[in-house]
Amino acid sequence: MKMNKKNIFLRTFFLQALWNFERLQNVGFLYILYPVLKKLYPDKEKRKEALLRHIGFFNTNPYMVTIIIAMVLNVENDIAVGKEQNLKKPEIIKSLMAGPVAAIGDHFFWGTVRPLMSFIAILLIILSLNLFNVDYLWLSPIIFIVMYNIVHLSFRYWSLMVSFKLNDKMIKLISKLEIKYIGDVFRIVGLVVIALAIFFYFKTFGLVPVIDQESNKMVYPEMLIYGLIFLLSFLFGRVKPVIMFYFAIIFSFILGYLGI
Amino acid sequence: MENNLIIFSIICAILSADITMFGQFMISRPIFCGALFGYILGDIYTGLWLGMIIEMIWVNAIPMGVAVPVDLTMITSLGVIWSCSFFKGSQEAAIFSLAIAIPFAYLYKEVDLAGRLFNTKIMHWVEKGIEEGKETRISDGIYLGLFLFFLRAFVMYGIILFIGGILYKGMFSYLPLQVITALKKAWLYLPVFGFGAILYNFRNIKFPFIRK
Repeated sequence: MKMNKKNIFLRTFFLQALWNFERLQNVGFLYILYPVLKKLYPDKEKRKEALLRHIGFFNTNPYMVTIIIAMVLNVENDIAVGKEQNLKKPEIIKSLMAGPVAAIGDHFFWGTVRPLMSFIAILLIILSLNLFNVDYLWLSPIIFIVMYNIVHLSFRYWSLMVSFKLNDKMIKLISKLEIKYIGDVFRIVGLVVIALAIFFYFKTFGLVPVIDQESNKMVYPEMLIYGLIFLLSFLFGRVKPVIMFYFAIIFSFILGYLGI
Repeated sequence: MENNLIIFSIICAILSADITMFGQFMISRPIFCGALFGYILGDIYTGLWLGMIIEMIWVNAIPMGVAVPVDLTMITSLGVIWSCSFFKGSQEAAIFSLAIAIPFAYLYKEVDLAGRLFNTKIMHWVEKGIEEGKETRISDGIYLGLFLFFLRAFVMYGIILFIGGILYKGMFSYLPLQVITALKKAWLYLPVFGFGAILYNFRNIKFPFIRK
């Protein structure tokens, strides 16, 4: 049966609109499937059975749901035309696929692509203050949003279309894509970008030389403080961000009190 | 700020919906929403700087599974709106605005959790509807979930922007000089803490070029 894939794609944005603690993304998942299930099962009773099959617990990465959607709809199509007799197969696919694809999506998109794009934006902000003109500051958030969504939206669309064609072979394709390898490369690029940001930050705000009155030599007092802060934050990186934030303010107060 | 309270609340609610409810286009990220409010209020530099600080320190805050992290959109939006509305261009006021915004974001998280609990009731209403042949409840449930989220975000942002704004403005005017100096220093020190947090979180990078 011909499916309106663009409509399915647009509906994936609503996956978490009724996110709940009991079954997480279940209604969102059903909302994506509904127009296709309506066409596949013109008989109301059969459709009710199909809809109730998908009201159970479901949770995955919202960007990766497209793969599961395509595979489940292919099976539902087979059930509707009588090719598949096992009515529990869609549920099995969901429960087997949700965890592994979520792990890939969380690592790649949340843990790698998003930080990388924000590091690029941070580098651009610091470069705007250092090398470029402050008039170009607005470019960094725009670049962040555009670059991130080029990667994110193209993956979402591509994975939906390809998963419909490849069905369960999509798992093989994903493993061949070596997303973990690409993620590791991206993380190294991110590290290089943030190293550049640190360099330019210290160059802009930390290396202001002061002539020491006694020795008559150039000293860099801010650099020492920055070095200490840097060491502290790295050593106590495990603490909660909120504690780190307030600690930074208290630390600044202590430095001010000491006259540093 | 009071004149634009409704508009700001609407924008904040839309941005906040991007975190989990709709799309995940990352318009909710501090680096974007900070810049957006900074631009609207005529001080993009402060907006970006505050966004950059929050983005770096909370680099690992991701909504995964049942974990609901603190709303970074709220911390950034409140901070930028308050500081750019009341003390435009003041670095110490900008950092102080974040310090005041954080507790409000934790309060909002509790309201958000209550909302997600209520979603369970809507989900059961949808399930019952399907059993009774009322299939329109699927889309009704989705739109109701979105509407209720938007409504509670809009109301909460409106209240917090107004009450918190009065609190922030009043408190900042009475801060002793030593605290003001500390906040001014923190403007430059906080990004360094952020760099440290990033490097800590990225310390276990494996070099893919060296593969067995």
